[in-house]
Amino acid sequence: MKSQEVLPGFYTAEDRVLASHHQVALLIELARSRHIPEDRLLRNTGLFPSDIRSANHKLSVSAFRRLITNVADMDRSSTLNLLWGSQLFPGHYGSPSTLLVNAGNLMEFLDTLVRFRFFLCPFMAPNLVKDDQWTYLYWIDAGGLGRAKPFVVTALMSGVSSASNWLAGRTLPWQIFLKHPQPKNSSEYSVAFGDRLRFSAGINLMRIESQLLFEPWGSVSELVRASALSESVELLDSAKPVYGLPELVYRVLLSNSSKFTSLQTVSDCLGMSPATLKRRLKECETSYQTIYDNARLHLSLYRFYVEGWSQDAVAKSLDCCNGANFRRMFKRWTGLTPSEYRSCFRLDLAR
Amino acid sequence: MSLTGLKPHRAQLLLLAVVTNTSLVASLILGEVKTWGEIDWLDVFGEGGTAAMLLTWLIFILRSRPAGRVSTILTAGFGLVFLALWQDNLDEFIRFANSQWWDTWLESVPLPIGMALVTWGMYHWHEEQLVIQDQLRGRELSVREHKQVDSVTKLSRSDYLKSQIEAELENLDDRIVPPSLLMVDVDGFDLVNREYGTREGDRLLKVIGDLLLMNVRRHDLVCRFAGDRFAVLLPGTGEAAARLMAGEISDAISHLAYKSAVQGNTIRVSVSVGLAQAKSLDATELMERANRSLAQAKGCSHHGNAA
Repeated sequence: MKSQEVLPGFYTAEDRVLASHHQVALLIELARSRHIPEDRLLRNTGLFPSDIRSANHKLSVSAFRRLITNVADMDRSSTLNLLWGSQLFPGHYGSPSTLLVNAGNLMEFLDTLVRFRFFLCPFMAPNLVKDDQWTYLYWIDAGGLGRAKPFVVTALMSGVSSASNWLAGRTLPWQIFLKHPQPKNSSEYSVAFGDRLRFSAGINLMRIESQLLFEPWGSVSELVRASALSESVELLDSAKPVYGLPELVYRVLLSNSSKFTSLQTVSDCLGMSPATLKRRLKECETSYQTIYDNARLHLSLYRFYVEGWSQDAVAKSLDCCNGANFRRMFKRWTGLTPSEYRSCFRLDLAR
Repeated sequence: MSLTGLKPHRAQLLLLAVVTNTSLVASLILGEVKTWGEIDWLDVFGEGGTAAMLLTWLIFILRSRPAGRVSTILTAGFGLVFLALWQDNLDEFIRFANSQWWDTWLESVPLPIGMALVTWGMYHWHEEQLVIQDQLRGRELSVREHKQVDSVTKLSRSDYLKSQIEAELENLDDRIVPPSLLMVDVDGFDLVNREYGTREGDRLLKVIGDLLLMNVRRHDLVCRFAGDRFAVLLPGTGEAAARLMAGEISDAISHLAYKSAVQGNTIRVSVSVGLAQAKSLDATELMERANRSLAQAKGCSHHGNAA
């Protein structure tokens, strides 16, 4: 294994990186409007009501995780994730929000979201993959959301679909795949997302037909868009955001995907011992093995569906001794064998 | 347990506290405190426990009720029973001379009077409940389940709807027309939330829920299915009659001139209605068919050009 170079910085679960007055304040406001008492909401988060009103306060991922857990526990309707999501975008996060609202088509919208995601959706990283037929947007954990992930990823998907519907002026046929199992209130999900919805899908992903990407969305001001773009780029340059540790590990793994990297190599890359890396990831409520499995699953799905590889070719590329072994691993990741998954993924959801 | 709900009943509770304290002070002055060995702890536990339990009941009842005649009767009744048990418990600790007639009197007289008052109060509570039940018409059928009530619209949620459809379908035989189900979805509700905020959106949903209740019959059930979608269960209703009601509901809502809370400007809304009549014994299948019919009514927009 080659690269021994130490990668630039990253943040961990206790670093204060999330602006409290943006997405977090929206959620708190919403919870208050549902009569959730503020003291219960902020319990164990180390947050004070004044922090949210200040423009400079930042929140750590672990405090955010506890806040989400509090909201989810106190939310009798179990719909605050969907409702919060529908308010997330374009939001009021400065020039990236302006850029989002002035997107001329779906492609510009998604590009903006991915490029300026440190401001627009700092909790999870959106990733865009396109082929001739489909455009995929899948979400990975940025800083270690742990238990809060189902809540947050649902909100983000609800946000993307709600904002793109709003800007397009019609309901776009997004297809939604969620990693978590079907919740009790699944009727809320189907009203929010429509029928094309799958739970226990192994991955958090939304998909739409690529031909809709460049369908024009009504009039936008080119001038506003251009100035918002240059402002956003400046903002990004000056903020110099870094990856969260779980995301960084994921990206290191995928960047060496020709031969999957060992724990030792990854920790060398990050300038820490394997034991420290494991401990740090544990603080992020995840583990090296989880991220490793995710990376391999995402890569195999990419090779299956976007590049059209055969099962054997994918198995070989992932260093599995044989096809049977690969199928067993795949089943562990998704609960389905590759061929079962393929028929599920084809999505005969539009009855 | 928070005591905030007790505010309207302050006066009665204060009176109870004064009376029990007076009896305690009087007993201490007029009686003689027993030694540790003389106390029968089993009695203390039994009588004291009953008194404590009774006080808890009283607090729960008062916390769940506004002030008024029925509340006063119940407080008086429970208060007297409590007083009797209290006095009974006091003489486990304090010995009274036989000349202290009032101790025995306090132990036995308030008890039957209190019991009678509680019974009388319960009867009036029942009468009152019938009135309230009438106000809940359309919100519940034969079963009540407060955990399935939605906090925004105060209508029941989809899990309650499902259980009620199942109950309807179970009782079905050849002589009864199977129930129909309407799915009522607010068009462009997302826009209201975006423009006016979710507080306003919540208020609008509540108003639409109320309006639906005004447009159904006595034995129909209105639920909040999910999000901005309502469901109306119409027992024993054929498709033609259900279609007529769907039209009436959508007319009623299109005539609503809802005023926003802050600026007071008019928000007009329309609804799309989907409809299905039960064909099998499967509640989920009925809800799915109604939802599909709704999607068609929405101009297939939700189903788009799916794969």
